[in-house]
Amino acid sequence: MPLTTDDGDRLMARLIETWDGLPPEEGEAFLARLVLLLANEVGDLGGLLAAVTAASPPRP
Amino acid sequence: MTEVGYDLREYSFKTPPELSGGATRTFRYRCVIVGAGLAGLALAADLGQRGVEVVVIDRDATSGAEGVLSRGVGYAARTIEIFDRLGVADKIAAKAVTWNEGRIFDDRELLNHYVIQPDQKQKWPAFLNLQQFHVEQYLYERVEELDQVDVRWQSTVVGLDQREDSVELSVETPEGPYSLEADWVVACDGAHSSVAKFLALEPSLTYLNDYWAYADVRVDLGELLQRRFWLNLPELNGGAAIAHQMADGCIRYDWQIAHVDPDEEIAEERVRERVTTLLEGRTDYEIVSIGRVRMKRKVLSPFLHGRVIFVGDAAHELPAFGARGGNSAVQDAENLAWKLTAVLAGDAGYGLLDTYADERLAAALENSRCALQSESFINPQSKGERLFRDAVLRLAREQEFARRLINTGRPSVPIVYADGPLVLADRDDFDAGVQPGAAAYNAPVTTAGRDAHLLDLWKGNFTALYFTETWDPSDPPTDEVRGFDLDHVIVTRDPQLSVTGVEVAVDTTGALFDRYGADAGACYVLRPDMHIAGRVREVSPVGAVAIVDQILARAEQPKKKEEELCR
Repeated sequence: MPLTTDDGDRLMARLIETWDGLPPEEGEAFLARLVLLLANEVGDLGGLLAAVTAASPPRP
Repeated sequence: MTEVGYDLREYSFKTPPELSGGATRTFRYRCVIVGAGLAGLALAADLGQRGVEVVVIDRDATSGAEGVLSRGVGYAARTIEIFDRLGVADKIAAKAVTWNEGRIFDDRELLNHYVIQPDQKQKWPAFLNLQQFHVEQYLYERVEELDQVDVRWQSTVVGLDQREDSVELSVETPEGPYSLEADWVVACDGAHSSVAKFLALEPSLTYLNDYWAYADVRVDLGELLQRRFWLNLPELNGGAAIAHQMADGCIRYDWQIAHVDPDEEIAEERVRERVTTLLEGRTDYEIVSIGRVRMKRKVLSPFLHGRVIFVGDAAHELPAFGARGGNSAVQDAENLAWKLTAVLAGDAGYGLLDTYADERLAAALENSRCALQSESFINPQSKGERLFRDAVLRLAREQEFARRLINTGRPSVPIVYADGPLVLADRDDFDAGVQPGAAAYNAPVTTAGRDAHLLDLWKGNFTALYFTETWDPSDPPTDEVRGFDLDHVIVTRDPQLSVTGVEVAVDTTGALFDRYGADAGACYVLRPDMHIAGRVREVSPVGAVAIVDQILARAEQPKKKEEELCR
């Protein structure tokens, strides 16, 4: 189920707040843990791999 | 330097016929195996049981390479099924230690305590731990019972000449050199295969930046120590360590070497320091043996070069995580034995040996992929490997799913061979069951009034399993296809079903019908290595014969001409 605009706005704010509150060297580790937790919520490997592709920078 | 705490049997040199009676003579043999280790002895036992005369040549005088090292420790259920057919599983199980749980630590903090739920319907446990030389000794005792097998200890192959229709081997012995000729040579001579060197073969080889020390330690902990795996140990500069209980009251410790000079790490004083720390300060132990290893990945492709066939470590090596080395060597040998037997009997051509090379290469690549993924977790090298590994370790404290992502070695499971000459894709509708190419599933049965397991009925031949409650055919089914024996077994849930001329196994627990997806009836054909060749819904010997006939016809198409390969 897609995020509603309201919920999306709240999530964005929380993500930014959390990231900005972290020392620089902990940002990546935070994101890695977040990705794994969300992946477990989603569960579907096909969807997850598609998301990895969608999030990857375009190849030059 | 080290105390030798194992009592290994020594095997004496016996004068071979080549050196008997004065003049040196050359004899020709059907099959010569180089190397009497795990792979060579398993293959020799299998070939010998199948009636093939085989000579095994080994430079050592004992079971086990380099004397007293425990080497391969974990034997998986599938491998034990093979040992069962070779007549050594009971001995191995009696000596070995069963384990079904493990603990994983981040430094000293317990991250995961897992239990491998045993499948109570299986004849053998998921894993047995035993020093490799014990397994080799039991295999050797087995081949000693077989007239077909001639093991020649203290004999070193020093030269190999591949000809169009034979291979000549030069051998050095305590009583002088001799040579012998063979139709086929099987290289089971391990990681530093001399046969590969004689053929000037260059395997694809990658050394990993991962060194391990190991020690066998005799200590009485009052109970068996189940598998322990420590990550991030500060005394190892963040390296890992593993402990496994083995037989003879010994524990095998493996730990990562973080120092520049790996030899420093296996000095006895340093080993004592490591072991004492891992034993939380205890010092009442005996060090039985010490060794070290560098992790690597090697694939010698193809496994078949003219009349020389590579098996086990001679063909492939990989990081040790998951116990895939020894297990895959035994499974290689099993895949090869029936094929080589048929080729030597003239019942099949070179194409059947190609299927050995292809199927076992696929298995080696699959094992390699799994082992390297574990390697990446245990010994992260890249930034990404470390980032996601550490994320998993951190989450594992709270999250069950993350504990499952801790990859300290995924246990060896038998490969599912892909559709190919010897594996027929389904034509009938099967949405469940054991898929073609997979290893047969075992479960309890009663047969002829006694309790057994299904695979006890298996004699090493093509075997048709008919899942049915009725049996119509009145004529005894054909027992031979293209020179290969075909056995027939009826699997039924009806204990009253009475059939003459065909063995009946009663599926007392219902597990066989369930796992084979056979409620609507089914006919499965097992290959002589217990993998599924194909299956159909119709229960009739005609269908089973057709499957065997079809796959053998497909295997008769050689990829290359034999003569070309010899050049």
